[in-house]
Amino acid sequence: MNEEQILKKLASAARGDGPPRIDVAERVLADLAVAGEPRNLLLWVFTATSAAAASVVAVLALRVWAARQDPFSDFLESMMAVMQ
Amino acid sequence: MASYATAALRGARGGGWDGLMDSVAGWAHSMAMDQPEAPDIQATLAGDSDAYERLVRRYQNEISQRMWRFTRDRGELEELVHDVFVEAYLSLKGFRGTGPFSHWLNRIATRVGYRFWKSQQRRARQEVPLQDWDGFAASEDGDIPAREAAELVHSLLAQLPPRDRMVLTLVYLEELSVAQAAERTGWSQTMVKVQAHRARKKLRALLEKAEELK
Repeated sequence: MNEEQILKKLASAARGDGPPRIDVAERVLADLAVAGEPRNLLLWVFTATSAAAASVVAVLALRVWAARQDPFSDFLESMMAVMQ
Repeated sequence: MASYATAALRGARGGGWDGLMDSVAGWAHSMAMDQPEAPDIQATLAGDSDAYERLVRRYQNEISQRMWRFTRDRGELEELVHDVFVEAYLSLKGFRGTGPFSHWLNRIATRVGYRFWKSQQRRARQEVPLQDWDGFAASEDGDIPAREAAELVHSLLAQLPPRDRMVLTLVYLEELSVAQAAERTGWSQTMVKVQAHRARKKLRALLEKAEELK
């Protein structure tokens, strides 16, 4: 029996074998629905998080700016005390 | 198993159903209206997900049958059928209705299956036990159960590279003509003939090797 005969015989017998019954409709639809929306949703979440983080940084920066002083002030104060 | 279609979904332009709306007008003019699926395809392109669900339910058995040639594992089968319908949805705006919808869907299925085989190529190939061949060669036509024959032919073809495996599957298992196999794969008819010839040669070498090892 040559390779073609073997293949034909096998294929003929195998044709009667059917796949298990499956249903992918819901999963396909769910995946397609998710694919359409999350990009906008993710963008909004990312924007909101960034804005919140930026606000915190801005408030902290303002407070630090208001409380800023000469870095040598402590040193100069000590020197003044010694000199007096 | 990593899903190609899921990756494609991630890469798809945002907008999902909305993304297909643009093509509705042009498509409606070009599509042959005698297609039984035409209303559902048009509705899908217009954003009706129920219409696409109807299409999936109508064709999933046929596609499942097709993909059963590519894997013998139920989980992989589900994944492959899922991938076919996701890919079909993403390409639906390209369907012009010049041929039957099922032909178009089967081309996508063949592409998905071929890609699956290529991804599996690195795996160690299963050797078909020699005693199976002895038993098969000795059996009369119809003696061998369908499932057993399917397992055997699957293991045998799995020892060939994906292109050879593809052409033999289409020509022998699906009984497609050269022209039909060319249409399904997107190859030329000459390519199909050459590929089939090479594949048979490799198969012969495999069987001869098996004989020598006896």
